[in-house]
Amino acid sequence: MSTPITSPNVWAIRLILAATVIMAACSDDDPDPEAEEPEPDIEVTSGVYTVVNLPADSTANSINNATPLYYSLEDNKIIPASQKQTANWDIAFLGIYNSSIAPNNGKGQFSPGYGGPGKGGLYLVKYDDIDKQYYDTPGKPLTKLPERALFDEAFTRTTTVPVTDDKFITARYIDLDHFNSGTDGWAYYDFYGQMYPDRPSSEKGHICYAMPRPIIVRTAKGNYAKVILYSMYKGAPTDPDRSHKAGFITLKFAIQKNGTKNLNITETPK
Amino acid sequence: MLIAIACTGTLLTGCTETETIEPPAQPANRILTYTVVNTPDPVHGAVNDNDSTITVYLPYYYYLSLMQTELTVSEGATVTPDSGTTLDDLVRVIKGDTVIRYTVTDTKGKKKTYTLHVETQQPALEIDEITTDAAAPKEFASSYLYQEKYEVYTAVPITGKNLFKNIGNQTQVTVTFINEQGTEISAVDVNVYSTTSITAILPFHWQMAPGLYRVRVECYSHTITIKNPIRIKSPQ
Repeated sequence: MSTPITSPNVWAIRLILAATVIMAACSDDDPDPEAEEPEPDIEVTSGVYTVVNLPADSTANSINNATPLYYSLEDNKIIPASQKQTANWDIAFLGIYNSSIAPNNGKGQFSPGYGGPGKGGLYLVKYDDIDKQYYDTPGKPLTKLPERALFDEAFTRTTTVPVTDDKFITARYIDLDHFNSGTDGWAYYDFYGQMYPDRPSSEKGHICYAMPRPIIVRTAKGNYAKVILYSMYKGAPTDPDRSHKAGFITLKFAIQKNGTKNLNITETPK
Repeated sequence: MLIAIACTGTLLTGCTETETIEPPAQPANRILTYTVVNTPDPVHGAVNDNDSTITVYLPYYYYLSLMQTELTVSEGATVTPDSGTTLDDLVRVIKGDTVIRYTVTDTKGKKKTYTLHVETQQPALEIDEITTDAAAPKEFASSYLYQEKYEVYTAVPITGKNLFKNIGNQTQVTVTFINEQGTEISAVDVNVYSTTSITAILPFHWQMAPGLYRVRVECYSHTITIKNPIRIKSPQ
């Protein structure tokens, strides 16, 4: 399975590859269209990466858990579910509409990687001064939509791992904020459409609004990364409604490959 | 005087020529180590050269579905499958449905083949009969749509011993219904309440024709098909 989008240079490579494939498909003497070479892996080095419209379970509903999506920050690509008990992935999106985020930890009973070699963990970072710009009370509707600039500010401000390893979540998930739990989350879920009382709930009810809260990820192999999630809707709309298709995750992450906790990473690898 | 005689005797004995016998050379087509690496801590297998086996005691509570291994062999030898090869569908290997053999070839081409055994020591699965009187199969109506839009599911309660609760966000128990022609249909869902109690959700009536069905329960590497069938009838 291919990675949806990585850096601009990777895009360029993919466009060339795609053009090659299209040209090959147009050839009359194509010997075997099934015998396409798999896309070569591109080495992921320390740096900042943006992933747009990561295809999770776009057929999910509000009753059943979505099909989990496993993602490798180390390799910047989707990992098949058959490899969930390996160290090949770092975060999983699962639960209702893929809205819960799980670490890969072989000793964490509720990690999908349970029983495997993963040493991963998650930690949600909150900045009070940023939160106050869009949010008053935990569990209550947002006072306004957080601007995209706040997401980038929170991401940039996170320059190191702010806690010791024992503070990482290893056996549960980072979920929606104060929804069915008393815990802080990565997004606010407006069940009734309370943020928009003048609009019908058929348009604004059951909408998930990402919050500018970075997630520190200890990868399955033990490196550190930071992730900011922008949206779980196709096209990452800033003001989503029910017309937007769920199950498409847009995020930005920075990974440190040298084993340190230095997350003061700004460069997008060439 | 006596001490002097004793010393002389010892010196004479010390001059006796001794013969050094070299131990027989080890075959050069051996597996030296076998390690499972995709577990929270590495699990080392026991390599037995006498009966050409590798035995891995893999804790069942890891519920591993695949196994990544590393092995070392005699110097210069090669092995197939190679070190680092992933064994997919591990449950079939545990059950013995798939046999994995490693062949080591030394530098002169001499081969030795080892057979892999994976022991999980999973506690024996027990499933109680749902129908206790074979002459009167217990009846369940298949699931249906109320007023053609509301899903109404039928749950078949199943009891037993050593069923597993959900681990790693996924139930470890599957239930399959098998009709008299041998056609299989999976339960829509399985809810595990404890190690002794689960429910299996029946498919809709258009997916599951009325009739007698045997029930098969699978829990990781153990499988039981209970003896007496149940009867599926159409919903009212």
